[in-house]
Amino acid sequence: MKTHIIIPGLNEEKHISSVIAKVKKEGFENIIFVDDGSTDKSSLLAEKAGATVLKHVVNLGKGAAVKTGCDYCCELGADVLVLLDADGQHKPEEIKKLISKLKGKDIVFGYRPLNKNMPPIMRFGNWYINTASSLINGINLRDTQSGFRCFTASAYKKIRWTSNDYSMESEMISNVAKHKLKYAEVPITTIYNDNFKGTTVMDGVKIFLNIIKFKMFTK
Amino acid sequence: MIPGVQIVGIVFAIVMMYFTFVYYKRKNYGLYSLIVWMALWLGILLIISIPETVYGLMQTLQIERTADFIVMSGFTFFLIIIFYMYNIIKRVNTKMEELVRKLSFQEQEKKKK
Repeated sequence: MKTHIIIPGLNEEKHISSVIAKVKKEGFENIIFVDDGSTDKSSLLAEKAGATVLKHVVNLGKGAAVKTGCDYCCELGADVLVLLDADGQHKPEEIKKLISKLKGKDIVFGYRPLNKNMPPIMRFGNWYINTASSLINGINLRDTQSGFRCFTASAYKKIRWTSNDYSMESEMISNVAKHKLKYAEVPITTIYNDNFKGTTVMDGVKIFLNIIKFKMFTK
Repeated sequence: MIPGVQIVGIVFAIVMMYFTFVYYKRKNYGLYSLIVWMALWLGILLIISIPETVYGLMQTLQIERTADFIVMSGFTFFLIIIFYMYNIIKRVNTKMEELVRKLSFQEQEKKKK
């Protein structure tokens, strides 16, 4: 089974080397770093660390970056695609845990158990987005916004999203529901390195509106 | 005597015609765009200077004042333009995304060689 690890990132020179090193330590060789228009040394460091780098000449957003990585891996003949954040908030040591759950399933979602480490605003945001998603999509997931996921290449063809931003995670879930794909959830450890990065309150409002949009208008 | 608002309208239309012509000369757009925009400014110029030309249409639409007719026409025109722009932006966005992706693949292929 050919597994590819896709790491999208924007200006992640602080963490990218260690993230890639940890992924390699876990025995994964096919590591794709999608540099979404970084202005720092992210690409250079990722390449030095041993990843294949796909560089966007301009910033398009996380959704577009992940799509670039997935499309590229599918062209290379990947069987399993693993998504991991570049800011070091996910533990590469848990990749195997996700992959082992993929047996007989199409997609595995990592979920962040609610704990004190999660900033309060994020805890509230996650709660309301998860509730809205489960009511609208009919899929009861504990964490709809976690970026730590893995899926088969055949599932990717069905869930390929149109969003270029953080809404991709919600659109992916909407597509999983529409295609009645088999899914599983795995608890993951999350390290919050930066409270000001990632999804903002406004992103949260946008995601909520998009959940409704995806339900109603996405084929 | 021509009311002040009519003078402002006429000056506005003439200035816009001038800019339309200048941008055409600078090759910002082609002859087709020049004709479309000139027709629009000429239409506005005509309605403002001789409001009687649209009285028939105003009567059909049950609009009493020429000013109301201009405001309503302008608003409709803006909505059409916004819709048109929205579609263009969407299309350009998709094309840009595809281009950026293609470039990143090509760059990687070059490195491999």
